[in-house]
Amino acid sequence: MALINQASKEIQVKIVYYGPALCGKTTNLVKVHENVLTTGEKGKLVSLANQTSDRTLFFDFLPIEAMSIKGYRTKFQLYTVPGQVIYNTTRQLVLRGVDGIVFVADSQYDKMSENVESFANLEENLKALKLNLADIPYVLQYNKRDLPDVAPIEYMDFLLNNREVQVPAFEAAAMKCEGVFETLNMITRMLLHKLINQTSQKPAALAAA
Amino acid sequence: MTGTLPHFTEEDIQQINAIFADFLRKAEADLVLLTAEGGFLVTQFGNAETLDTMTLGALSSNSFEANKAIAGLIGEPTFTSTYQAGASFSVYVQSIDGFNLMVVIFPVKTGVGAIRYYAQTARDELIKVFDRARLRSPGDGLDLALMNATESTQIFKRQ
Repeated sequence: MALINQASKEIQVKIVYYGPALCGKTTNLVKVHENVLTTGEKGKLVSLANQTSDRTLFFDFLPIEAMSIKGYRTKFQLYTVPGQVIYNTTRQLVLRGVDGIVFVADSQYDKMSENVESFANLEENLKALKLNLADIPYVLQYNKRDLPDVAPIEYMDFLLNNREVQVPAFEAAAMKCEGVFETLNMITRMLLHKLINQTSQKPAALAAA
Repeated sequence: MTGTLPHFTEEDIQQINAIFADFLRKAEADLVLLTAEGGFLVTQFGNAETLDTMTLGALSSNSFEANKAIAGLIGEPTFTSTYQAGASFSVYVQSIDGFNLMVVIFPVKTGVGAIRYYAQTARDELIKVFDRARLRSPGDGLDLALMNATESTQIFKRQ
């Protein structure tokens, strides 16, 4: 859940990048860290990764302070989860308190089953935390569009975005920083809309009661 | 939002800081952080010097959650505190209410027993502040509708 601190006039929000192993979750954070233009504080990118293979063991963490909105400083905590199947307990830990999710899918044809499996795993892990994906803002990112043998967008939509209300999906080549900021800005926008709706609906709900 | 986190006002934070000031004086610790579920840093009190307290809070929170998972694996319901001993400084983490944590940084010359003892008292006082804050409507005194979300389309810009 987002933290609204009236004393320090801060809103803190947690966004988790989820997806199968080697789909580019860490690359997204690296590119945001390298390229973001911020008037606020840009924190260090902390990677708890294997020293030799550079694979994420626990998570990557990037705190970024964005612009003030109506006097409130907006601070975003970006996390990745480890994609490897064996680290499921860790993925659950990182999802704790999540506000928004970016599901990063690998566009290569031979990765489709891993994408579907990871998406199902996301839903299972949220259920274990008594959360429902339908209640959490999320976007899809179809990464690695610059590689040969990628699946058509329509096919990926059919596999991952085939529901009554489709969520925004972005084509990306994270290594080239293409689609990275578009994805981040959309999940940010969806999150802020949700926060605004929740706080503005609360008094009305109380009055109705 | 799952509603486990109280909506802190300026008065709440002042009360929390007063509890922390008393705790640091009695326990002879250097710094105490209050972190919320999800790893957010709510407030800090004491000598942070050049420490990156936001990262410290996030890592401490996730580390504590990992320890709770370890507790589950060995059949313990939970761990309520963890202690990491260093050569110059040590870290003691105390759960407040199952969601929020006190993270204490203290020099090794201060015994962990004193930290643990005074942290219990501080935790009890913090729970009272949290309970009062939870009774308050999350929307009280705050109208986020004043925020213009359309301004957020380019909140993160590429260099």
